[in-house]
Amino acid sequence: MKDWVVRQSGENAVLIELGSVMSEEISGRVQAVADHIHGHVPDVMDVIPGYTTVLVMLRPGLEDQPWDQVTADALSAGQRMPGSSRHITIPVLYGGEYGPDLLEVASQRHMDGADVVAVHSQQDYRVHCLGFSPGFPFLGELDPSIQCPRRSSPRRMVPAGSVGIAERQTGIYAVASPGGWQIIGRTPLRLFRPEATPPIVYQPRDRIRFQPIDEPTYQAILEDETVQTGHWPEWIWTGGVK
Amino acid sequence: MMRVLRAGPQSVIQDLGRYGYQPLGFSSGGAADTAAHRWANLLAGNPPEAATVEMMLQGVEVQFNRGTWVAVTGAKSVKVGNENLPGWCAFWVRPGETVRVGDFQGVYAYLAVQGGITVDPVMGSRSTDLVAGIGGFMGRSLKAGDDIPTGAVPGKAGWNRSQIRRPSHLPQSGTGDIRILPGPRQHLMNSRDWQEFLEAAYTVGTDSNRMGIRLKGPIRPHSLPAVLSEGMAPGSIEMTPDGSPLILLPSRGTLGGYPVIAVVVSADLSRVAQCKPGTAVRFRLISVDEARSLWRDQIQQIAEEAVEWHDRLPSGPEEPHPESRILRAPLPGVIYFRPNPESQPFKRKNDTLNTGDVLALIEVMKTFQEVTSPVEARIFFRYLVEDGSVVEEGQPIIEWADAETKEGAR
Repeated sequence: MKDWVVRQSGENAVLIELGSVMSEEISGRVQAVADHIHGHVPDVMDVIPGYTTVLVMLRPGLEDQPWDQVTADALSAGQRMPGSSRHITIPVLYGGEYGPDLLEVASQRHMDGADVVAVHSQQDYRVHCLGFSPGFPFLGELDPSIQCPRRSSPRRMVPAGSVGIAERQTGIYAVASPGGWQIIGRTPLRLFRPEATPPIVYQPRDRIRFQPIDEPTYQAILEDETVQTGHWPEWIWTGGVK
Repeated sequence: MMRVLRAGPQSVIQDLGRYGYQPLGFSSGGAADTAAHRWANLLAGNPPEAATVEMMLQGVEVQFNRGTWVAVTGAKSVKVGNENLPGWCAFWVRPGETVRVGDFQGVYAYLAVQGGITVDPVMGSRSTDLVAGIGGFMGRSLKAGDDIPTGAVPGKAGWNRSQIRRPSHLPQSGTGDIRILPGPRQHLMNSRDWQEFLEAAYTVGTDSNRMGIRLKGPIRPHSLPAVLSEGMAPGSIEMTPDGSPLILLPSRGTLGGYPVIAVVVSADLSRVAQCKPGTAVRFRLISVDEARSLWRDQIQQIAEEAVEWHDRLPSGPEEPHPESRILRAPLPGVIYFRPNPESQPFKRKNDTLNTGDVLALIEVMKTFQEVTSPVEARIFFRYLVEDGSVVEEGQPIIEWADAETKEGAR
């Protein structure tokens, strides 16, 4: 049975909607469809996955594709061959000047800062999609005990590497940008490397775990990072910095 | 090479955009007014994807260290050296001459150089992404003193200003309604609000930029539900909670959470980008087929013009006249006839001239340009100016003789 909707988004794009709630299952369907279209449909300029949708941007001037058939094919191909996910560990120095909202979050949830850190760093998060700003991953799903709303007034500039939470999501500002999420920590890892392929360390479907680190470790990684260029340190794939 | 003398408030290098990285959150970007960008390239003799300088509200002043064709679109005028020229034209710039872009028609103007702006591409594009800090010139807006690499295409020197190139019919700037299609979240809107949106008279707000155009209008806040972050195509019209629509331009965030109720058709997106704050905007609904044919017409117009241009483009470097025994200065500057003050001259009377032999150096903008022999198997006769003197472009500098009259030309 067809359980998706194809919606026109201008004359050169369609939005394929595969569900209406944030979930692992729908995220899997979104990835299956995005991968299939990226690999099989000609003249696609870009495929942008969201939480429950896939935006397909086509070269201008083309006629319509049979999108329902494409989606059906993608979903059955995805069932036969579900894509594999990688595990990535991101070191984070929580609180203090690096996580100015940690104590605010803790007080909203009647916990202390260390509890928030323990809960935030105890689980793997799925990368649902990237956007808002370059390399910003929308990660789900945050433990209900530390969920809290966005800040009432957004910051004009959030430093690169900042780790934030908002509602049921957590995410990382890979580049400095304005932002309204509650900032609880910062990673010294350079997440965006224009000279690397791909230039962002994680992609949709990957699993991310945050590893609490102390100030000396933060500084040590930061120093290493100034000499790193086109590749990421090996330990991000093997459970974190020692 | 092009030196920036004045940068303007935001001048960035742009091409047709960066594709393949939008799933990672990098907007496609590229020229805000792709039509004006394409025209500038066409006039300068470039393919549409060549990089240009996109200026916002105020133009740059730049200087070139060699002769080249330059084109400016989106501005009403341009000052080249001491001459005022109209916008939407290409012109020959002599070495050392300055080009200053005058008043704009809208928000963005474009400057194209023959051979294109040749900064190294980053992630497949030369366009500047100010949010990611990549592309263009060091990932940032241009500043006074920047030296911008430009393509080395042999232009035909010596064209004069009466030979400026203009399109036979200027592109239509268009002031009519902005044409739209229903958006992917139009279904969330009730029919009364939708009708109100279609009939409303909006004006462009001051908080508009390369990412998007904010519209103000006589409308009340909506109670449209937010959507989970989803992909946003350029041209998407997001309805924000306070009821002011936001039209997304190519440098938008790739994901958004406000419902997209309508999408501006591709053919009108350049026109939207050019709307200054205060511009009145009305929308008109059309069909997907109409939208596609409008785009084809726009591209077709530029393509047809390109064919006409191609016939008129100068091809290759200028050949010396077969009867001529004179070499003229290819650019203005200080001329030297020896590699170093203590050295012998490059050529002396009765030396043989072969193609490519260095005959002189011309110092211009702190660089030394070699003047080489355009002729084969001739006999050097004399230098026509003093070593170390200032020469004008086109001034006779060297005389040679045919091989059989070894004792001189006269």
